[in-house]
Amino acid sequence: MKLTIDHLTKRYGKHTALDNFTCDFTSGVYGILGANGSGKTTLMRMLATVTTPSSGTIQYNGKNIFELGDDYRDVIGYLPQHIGLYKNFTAEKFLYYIAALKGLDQKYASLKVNELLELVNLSDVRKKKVGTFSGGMKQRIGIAQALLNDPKILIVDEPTAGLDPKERIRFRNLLSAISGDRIVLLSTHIVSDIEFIAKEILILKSGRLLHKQDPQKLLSEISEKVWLLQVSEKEIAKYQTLYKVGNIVRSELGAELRIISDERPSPAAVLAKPNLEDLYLYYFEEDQDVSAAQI
Amino acid sequence: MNKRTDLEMNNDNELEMWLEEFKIELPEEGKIEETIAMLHQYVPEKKESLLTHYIPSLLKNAYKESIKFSIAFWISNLLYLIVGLSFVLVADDPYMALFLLAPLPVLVGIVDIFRSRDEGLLELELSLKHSPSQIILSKLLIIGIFNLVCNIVLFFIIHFFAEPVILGDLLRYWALPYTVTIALCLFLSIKFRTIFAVPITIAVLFTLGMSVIQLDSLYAAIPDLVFLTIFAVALIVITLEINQINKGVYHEIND
Repeated sequence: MKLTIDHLTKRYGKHTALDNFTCDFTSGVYGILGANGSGKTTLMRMLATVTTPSSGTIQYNGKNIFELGDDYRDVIGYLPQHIGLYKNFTAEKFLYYIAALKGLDQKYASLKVNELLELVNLSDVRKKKVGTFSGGMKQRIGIAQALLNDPKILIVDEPTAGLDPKERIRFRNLLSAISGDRIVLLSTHIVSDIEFIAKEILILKSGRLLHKQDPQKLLSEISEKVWLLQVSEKEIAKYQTLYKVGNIVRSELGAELRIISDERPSPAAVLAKPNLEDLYLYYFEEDQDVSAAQI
Repeated sequence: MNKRTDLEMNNDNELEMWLEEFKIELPEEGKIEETIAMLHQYVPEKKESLLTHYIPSLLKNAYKESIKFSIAFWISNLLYLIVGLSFVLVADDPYMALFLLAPLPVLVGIVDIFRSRDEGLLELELSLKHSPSQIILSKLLIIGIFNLVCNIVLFFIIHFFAEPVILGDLLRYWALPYTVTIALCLFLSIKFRTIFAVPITIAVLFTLGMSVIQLDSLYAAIPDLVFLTIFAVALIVITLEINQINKGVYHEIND
């Protein structure tokens, strides 16, 4: 099973949302990391055949996905960033509706609906209208619908938005558990979503693919760029202006800053072991959702 | 004891070495995929019958879709029949009832047709096996057939309980407003949300209807050929709009 993306570009008028994107995906979880507007959603939409590329190709096992059409859509599960739901449908009816549109037969659909409602912990509210659901519950029903056809390729765009930390962990474990024999593409700007489950992390910036590597290799690239520095309260502002500051831990002695910088910010600074949060900060400017990365 | 263990171990090693000859390494996943892809060309393709070619999954979906129509669609059709019947049996002019009421159930149906787009579900539906275009067309098919049945019932009632149905009158008071209204509503719905498209169409329909009531003698004097031409143009417009829906134009507009 292989998904091959070759020089994929998407333009909206003069704006290039995705620029010459090339890579291969095989079984496993891939985390697509990028700030808002980096091209993650555009990539996901093309992979889900929701929109067509301006140029370039996407091939599933050597065949163009847009030519495969129904046959390709048969093997994918897609959770869009903003999922709409028919408010007057119950959770169960909504899943049956999607199952019908996925072409599943009634018996199999019934089996999967029950199994997935259980999996996403919505069995007890199966008869409730989705219009009454909280954001997290809507997201969970979205995840359930994506898994209805037991997809070979699961495309989830910002799936943990609106989920509380417990639900987020549950979702992460769920993805990890089902990823064995399928390609899972997960786009996010929340690093903790992919930190422990991604086989490889793709970093997208301004529509371009900067890196595609396993997390450890990515982290090794910034192994000498993360510093810990003890400063006084007065010096915090100065360092914040000069460097990317990831964390500020205050204590009686002042504050310990976690600084991401190519050079040693001060002779007193000591190297620290980098994490994905540091990596995110290293590649993305602070005005691009740093706060989101720190969750 | 030790001797026996050594002997056993020797036997095990020997057995293992012997079995090694029969061991087949699991090929790499890529090689398995390549073999499947290679063999795939020899798998005979299922022959597509002419019927399934021309009416793909439209009819197959139609039944499934019908149960998902909102209750408003079925009620509006029922109301149309009841109100239409009372016009036929009570009022003098059953044709004006056809003029004003016949398109209404279809307009309600159009709200249902574009519901997924209007409620933000289109993004998801576009990724499903049955595309939204197929879904919309199958819904159009249901609406068209069901409404046609309702109309035929009404024609029979008019014919047998009010006055004999004249084809020319049917063209003026049913076919023409019916097709023009649907063409206009589809045109607007492709471009805007149905929450705007449907009320605008209803307003246009009722304005036209009231004008015809006021100027009925003038309307009746217009030659049939003019009506036939407008009717034909409306049918062509509807066909073009269905073609646009099939191409997915209604959702690419905001892409």
